[in-house]
Amino acid sequence: MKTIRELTHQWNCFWFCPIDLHRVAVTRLCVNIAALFLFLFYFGTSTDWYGPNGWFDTSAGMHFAGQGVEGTGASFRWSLLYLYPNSGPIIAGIGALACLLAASGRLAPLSCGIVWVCLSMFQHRAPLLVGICEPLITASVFYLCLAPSFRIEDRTSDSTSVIGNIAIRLVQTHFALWLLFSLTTMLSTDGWWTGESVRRLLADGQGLMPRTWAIPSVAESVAHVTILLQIGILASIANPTIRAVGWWLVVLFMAIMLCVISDWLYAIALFAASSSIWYPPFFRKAISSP
Amino acid sequence: MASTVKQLSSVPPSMWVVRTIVSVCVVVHFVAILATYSANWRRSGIQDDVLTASQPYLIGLNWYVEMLPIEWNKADSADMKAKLTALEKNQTERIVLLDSTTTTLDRAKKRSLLRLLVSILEVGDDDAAALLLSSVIKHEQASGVRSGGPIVSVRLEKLLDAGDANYSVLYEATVKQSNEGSIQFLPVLEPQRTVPAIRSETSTTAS
Repeated sequence: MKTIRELTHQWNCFWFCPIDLHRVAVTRLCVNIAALFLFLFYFGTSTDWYGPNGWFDTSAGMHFAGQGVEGTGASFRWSLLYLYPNSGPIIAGIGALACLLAASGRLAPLSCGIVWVCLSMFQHRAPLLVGICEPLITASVFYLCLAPSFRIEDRTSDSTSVIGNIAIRLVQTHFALWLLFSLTTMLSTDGWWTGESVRRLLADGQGLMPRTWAIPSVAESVAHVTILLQIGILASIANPTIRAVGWWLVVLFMAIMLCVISDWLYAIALFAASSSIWYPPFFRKAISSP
Repeated sequence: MASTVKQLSSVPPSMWVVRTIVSVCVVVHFVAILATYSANWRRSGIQDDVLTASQPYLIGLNWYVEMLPIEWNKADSADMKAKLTALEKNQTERIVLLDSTTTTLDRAKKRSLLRLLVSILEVGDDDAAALLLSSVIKHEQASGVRSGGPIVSVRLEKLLDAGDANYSVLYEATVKQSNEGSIQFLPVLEPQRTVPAIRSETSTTAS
């Protein structure tokens, strides 16, 4: 009985304690900067991809989204890009402006909502072409819609919020789950045990490592380090006594990912989502100030 | 900590109701997310039911199985280096439409498109492949980068092993374009594609 009471108390502490809104504002700033990069990417490439003569035109988009096929859930996918293929830069522009507004902490729930809607439209348009970074950024923005408006430089005495805490906890939990499944998905394939998965990626030459390094010994080492880093990050999330190490493990994980696949947007997304747990050093002073 | 405990124990009963509702919502939400993420491995009957029941919620919010790339790799076969080339009318040199080793800003999207193309050709979905190839050819012709004539042939090549030096042909088709703009593909390597054997293309070397 006591255990249940303790568990309930810990659950309540985790989800319903008020949090300093400076922390919420820092995470919101990082996540919206990540979303801004994504919108800049969409702004430059959306017509080339989703326009009337794009790489992935509307008819291909509708087919691969499963339109007209029962059980695919295509009817729940929504995007203005299906109706107006040229609207990509406009949607990206609106999204980018909303990002700036949300990052500044003004009208945060509304602006985060607009950011989320705009991001979702691009992802619903081509679900099979969604990159690894996009779901992470979109999820974080979605959760931050809950948090109240607050500016980092604001020094009011009452700057705590329970709803802000729920938003941050949702981002943290989602990030931890996402990392857990990234790790377990890797472990479920032979390639991450033998290093073959990394060797293929290195042979593709996408990362900062030269293609000539696509040899078994390098690939195996990189694969093992990648797995160990993810285990380390998850352990530091779960254990407060070693949590401080986690930030450096995230930085190392980002560095290795850039060496292998060089997905800069993914690196920014990782940094942004992890900022809900480890506040970037340059913001620590702002958070600790009264 | 003591003040936190005091804060938590002194909440009015109505707040407990709100907290219970929020807690249930959080649990249900993460159960749906867990069902989605774990479906990357295998899908049980119960998982299938959970995913089907929560389709409007999960798909509406962009969290559905096919929408969630979570790992650096996509699929064993589709991760190999690949390229889509085309031959213009009255030309002898093939032009590269898509290459997995491209370094452009949208390279991740191009790699995803190539992976998708490789995957659907390997399962033999000709209709889907034709739709995708039409889209790529129309884009190429509309971009105006090439000054040559219409595209008359397409070829998808990929490495069979990361250590290979030569690309192998996975799919090759003659392209027939009508005046109305519709495009048809007549596969020229059908026997090779329907069996695992893939013609080795020694003339093209990997860069």
